[in-house]
Amino acid sequence: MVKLISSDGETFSVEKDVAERSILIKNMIEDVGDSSTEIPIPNVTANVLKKVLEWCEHHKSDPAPVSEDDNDSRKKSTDIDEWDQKFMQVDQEMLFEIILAANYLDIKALLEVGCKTVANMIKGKSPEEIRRQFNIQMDFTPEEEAQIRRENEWAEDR
Amino acid sequence: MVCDCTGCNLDRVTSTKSDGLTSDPLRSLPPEIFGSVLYYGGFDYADRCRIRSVCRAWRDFVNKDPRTYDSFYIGYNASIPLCVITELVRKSLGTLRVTVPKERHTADAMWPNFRERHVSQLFVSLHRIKDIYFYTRTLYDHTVTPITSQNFIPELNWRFLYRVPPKAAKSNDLRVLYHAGVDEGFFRAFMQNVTDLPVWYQEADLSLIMKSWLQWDGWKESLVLSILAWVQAFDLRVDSMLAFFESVGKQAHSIKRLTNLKFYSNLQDKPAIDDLWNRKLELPDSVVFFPNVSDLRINEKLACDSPVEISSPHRMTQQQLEEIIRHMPNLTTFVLNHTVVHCDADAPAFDFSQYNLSRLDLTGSDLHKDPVVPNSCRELLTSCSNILPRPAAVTNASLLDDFESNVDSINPVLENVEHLDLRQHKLIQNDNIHQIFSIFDCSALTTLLLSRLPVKIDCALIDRFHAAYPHLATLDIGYNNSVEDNLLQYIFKIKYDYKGFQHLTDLNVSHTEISDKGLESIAESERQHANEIDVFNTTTIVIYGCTKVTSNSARLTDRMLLTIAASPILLHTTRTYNFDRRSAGFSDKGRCFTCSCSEIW
Repeated sequence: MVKLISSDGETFSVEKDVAERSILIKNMIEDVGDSSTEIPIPNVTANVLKKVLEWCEHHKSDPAPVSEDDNDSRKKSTDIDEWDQKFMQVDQEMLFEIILAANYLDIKALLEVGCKTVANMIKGKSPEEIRRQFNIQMDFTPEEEAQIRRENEWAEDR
Repeated sequence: MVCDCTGCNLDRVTSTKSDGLTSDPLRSLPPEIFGSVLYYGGFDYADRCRIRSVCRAWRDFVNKDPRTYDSFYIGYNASIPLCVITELVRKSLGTLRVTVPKERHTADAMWPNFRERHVSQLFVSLHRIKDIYFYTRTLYDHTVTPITSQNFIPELNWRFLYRVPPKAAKSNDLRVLYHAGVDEGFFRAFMQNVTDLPVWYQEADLSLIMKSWLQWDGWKESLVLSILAWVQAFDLRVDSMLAFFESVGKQAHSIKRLTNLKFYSNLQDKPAIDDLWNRKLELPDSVVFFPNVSDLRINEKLACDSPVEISSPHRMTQQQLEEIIRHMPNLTTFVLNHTVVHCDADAPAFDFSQYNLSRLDLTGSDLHKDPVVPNSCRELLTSCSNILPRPAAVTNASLLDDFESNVDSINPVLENVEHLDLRQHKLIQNDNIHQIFSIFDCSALTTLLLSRLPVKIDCALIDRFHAAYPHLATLDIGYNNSVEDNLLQYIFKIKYDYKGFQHLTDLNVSHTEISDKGLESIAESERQHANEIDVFNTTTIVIYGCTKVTSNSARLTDRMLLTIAASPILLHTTRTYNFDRRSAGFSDKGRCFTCSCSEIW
């Protein structure tokens, strides 16, 4: 078992192969040479780390990711595994926290799922719908808005 | 009821937003991760244009993201400023998919920007063909990566595609110049510019161009002559189908470099070869028929995506045929398909012996008299009866009489033949097949194709093949209900117990009554002779369409490594897979089955 300490001091005991879904943790264990040593995770709070470990537990048996080149077409698809879809049904703040944690912990597959989830929230939506989705203020001046409309005009024409 | 679809799930994410404040991912996530979001989303240029309309921050991000310019269109109806196009091109990382606007000055000015770019697809709209050559030449002269360009010119129904092999590194790697449309305007423009074609056209394969033009009823003599002029100018080895017109012969004498020639006519009542011959009669001194041609194909069924079917055979006289090929002393391949050749009852048979033919294909043709096949012929293909001597009118009985009485003249024809294709032969019947093969002396035979014959293939016939054709490597007895497990077992009994058929590498028993039982018995034979079987002496059994073979055959032996699932439903649409047993990870003694079920691979 590996002990992970979240930024807010909570300890999580997980199986080594679960923890090693994170390349960062895996490297740390190798560096320390003793898996019983407590490993601090200073950038991830307990509630986020709990979610991340839940994902790692579910995916602990997944095969190692293939090389970037081989996987390019799959990456560009926004298809998400059903379990992952449900896992990502969290508020946006938590979603972004999970993405940041995945990035920090170097869990590429989780980062990919997070990015795809956000991409799906953008996909097929008009600018106004995207603004509503993320509570973004439209800050273009009328001139800027007219210009971007002109620039986009021909791009839509196929 | 809660919907589980992705969209609804995402809406639920939205609805559970906790604080009501902005959760702009661009502000919440590092830029590189937001870039990954756009990347994973697979957003193309048009999507990104929409995305950048969200707010200034998003606009600036999208504009600066090099991936934005991976692929984009410039629509032909738009009046995009030149500076915008050039800026886009300048920013582009690599693969471009561009539709160029119609204003020539715009495109010309923009074009140099493509030079160092990797253009994968190019859509050029509403341009004169002259411009297109300019563009492609510019591209080709300056890029080291493949270009696949395609332009749509809707008013004229033009469609133009350049294709090169993947990873082509040289500008002269263009192999195929493809024109899918049929349009006289295109062709005229094409011809007006042929002299300006850059060097990379020199090895272009014109066959695909011709393919789709064959059905065009707008052919003009001058266009055909232009093709020939082009052929001459560039010293092409033309492997194309030329629709012929009366005066082609005028030009033909100057095409001395031509080595391959295919005649094809889609005009049912006007065989192309007739025109050529008539011209020869009219201008006997001025017309020299392609003296260098070594590969002549007349009415060969087109090996293309949508072959043109010939509804009725063409007709010509034997005199015409002789006259035409007489001027081609270098002929090594002659194909005459779907043609009825007439001759007088007392005329001698067509004599090919004066040619050094290595391949003679008479599939679908009827020469009325058996031709004399030269000894040099290594490949003889025929589905007609002409391989057998027969008079003009014949019954099966008279065939046998004639056949037996002409044995002496048949065997010299066949003794050097390695490839004998008798598929669907009209005159081979149950009552003559044994006699026919009893006198065929084809000791050099390596390929024997007998599929779709309405005869019983029995053990006695297999015995005969075993004895008479010691070098047999390919045996096709597919599409025959008489071929069943016992026969298959017998073939392999000869192979394993009597050490016959030692060169047999391909056995086609597709669409026969072969079942799991037959395969099991072969597996058992293999097990018994495991120590004697040479990996290079295994036989590929083609079993697609054998409805009695099930996936249970997969368990036959650890040396039969493929799951067999020969669903008859798939037979008409799926491919036949030929397998490399080594690359497929087969064991040394593995037998390779070819089957029709694509999903098992």
